[in-house]
Amino acid sequence: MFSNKDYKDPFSHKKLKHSGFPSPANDYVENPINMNELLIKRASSTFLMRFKGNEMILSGIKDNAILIIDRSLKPVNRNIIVASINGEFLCRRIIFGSKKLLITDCLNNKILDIDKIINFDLLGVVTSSINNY
Amino acid sequence: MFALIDCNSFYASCEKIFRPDLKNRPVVVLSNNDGCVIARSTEAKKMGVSMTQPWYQVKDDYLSNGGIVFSSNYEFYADISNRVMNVLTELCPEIDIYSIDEAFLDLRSFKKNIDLVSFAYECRRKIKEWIGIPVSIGIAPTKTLAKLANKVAKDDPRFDGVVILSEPRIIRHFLKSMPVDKIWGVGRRLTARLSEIGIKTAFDLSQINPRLIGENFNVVLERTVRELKGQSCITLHDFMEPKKQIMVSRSFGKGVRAKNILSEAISFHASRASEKLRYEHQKCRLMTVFIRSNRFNTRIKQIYASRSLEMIHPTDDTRVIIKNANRILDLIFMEGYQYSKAGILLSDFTDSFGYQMSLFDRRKCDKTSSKLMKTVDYINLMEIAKIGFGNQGYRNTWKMKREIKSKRYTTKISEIPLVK
Repeated sequence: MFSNKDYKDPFSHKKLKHSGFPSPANDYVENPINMNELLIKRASSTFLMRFKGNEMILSGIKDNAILIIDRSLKPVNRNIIVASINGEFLCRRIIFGSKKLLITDCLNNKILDIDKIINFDLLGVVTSSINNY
Repeated sequence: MFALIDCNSFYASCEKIFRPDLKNRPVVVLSNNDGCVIARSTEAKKMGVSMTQPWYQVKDDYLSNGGIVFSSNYEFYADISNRVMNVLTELCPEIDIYSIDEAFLDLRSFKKNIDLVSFAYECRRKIKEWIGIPVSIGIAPTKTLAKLANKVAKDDPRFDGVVILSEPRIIRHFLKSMPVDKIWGVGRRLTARLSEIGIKTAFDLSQINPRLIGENFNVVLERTVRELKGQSCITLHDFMEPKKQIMVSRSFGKGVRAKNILSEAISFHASRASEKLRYEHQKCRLMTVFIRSNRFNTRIKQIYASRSLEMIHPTDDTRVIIKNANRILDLIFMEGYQYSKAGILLSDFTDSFGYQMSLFDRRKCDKTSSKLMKTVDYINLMEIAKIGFGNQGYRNTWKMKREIKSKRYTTKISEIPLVK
């Protein structure tokens, strides 16, 4: 789970021994930005996965990106989702039109028709991805 | 009303979350050291694998029929358990976590007209969809009844995982179909005694005057009877009675012949046991050490050796316990056997706040001892490093095997699942 164990006390510097003048900014201290808070809305249903491949490159998901997946969300049209298809996890964009489709974002777009897949289980909606440059 | 939520085949279900290829396949999880089966998926149950069966007995048959096996991966199970409990807490803040895969919800704070059926199915759906774990739910006026309802919800597929007992007429009918040994806290011995006086079903038991049961059996069973009658009297506090004894034992990965390795293992177990003892604020007067061969292996010479030692001063000092445990080992160890398990049992407790001093008062030495033990426990609490005592050894050749462990999918960034 996403714990705050390594998260340092934001006010620790206030407890440091200060000699001389007190900092004029002391009364304006705020918590530093917390990445967990930014990226994870519901910790208990959020899982991380590592993306392998170039199929989703045009959506900004590079090879080796870390996907943040919230299983509590219901996908809507054009969401990026993770699903298991015939025993394997795939990350794709979902299209709700006259047919339910999964599309990749690369140029040789391979389209999958969900109703024709025997073993399809939705895992969750990808809410963000982390790419390292 | 109380609800008991219980995860179905919890460890096996965890193993399936990130392995879609294992859907509908038999999965079992083994105990520490890969000794015996401690969790079975529905498919594995159908193959006839039973609980706590030694692994090597079923191994060949099970694997050749396509079964999948895992060593226990407690880091992963604990994380999934936390997630389940967090979702339940969102649904009902009055929660008692009873074990890694079970929790009671106190629904008495809910509005009178709440639809329990749709509440139960909402719990079930959310835990399945959000985390991937199937659960069974029993709802009833008391915890004992909720536990019984849960058992039926789990075992009888007609109920689709939810059993709610609310009307007295239905509860009566339900209890009549329940053998007495299915009741929470009624073990084999008690079942035999009850059977002698003609009590066969849960309904029979519920018809008896609880006071009579209290006088002839014990308070715990008296409370059970009251609970069967629909009178709620078990609180969370009741689960936490102080322990009467502490046992730490482990099987070895491979058979062990050398005494120094046995001594390392015994010392390690002794130090774990004394930590537990201090955690309970108890001191022990009696300790038992045992070593044994693998009783399932018929090809080797069998041995079971154990001896107890009574100490003059009750103690919780790791050094004293390790020293005495090794004295016992000296007495019981015999050359020429292959040992497969060693353990220590601490008992005869007095709580560490007030015990009778013996004639030779050792209070002074006791003070430094408790100070040292506190420091040791404190350092070991911080996960950076562990300190131990000389003879615990660092080679740990006898440590757990856990050969076929799955990844720590949710707690280690280098082990998160892959997706294409």
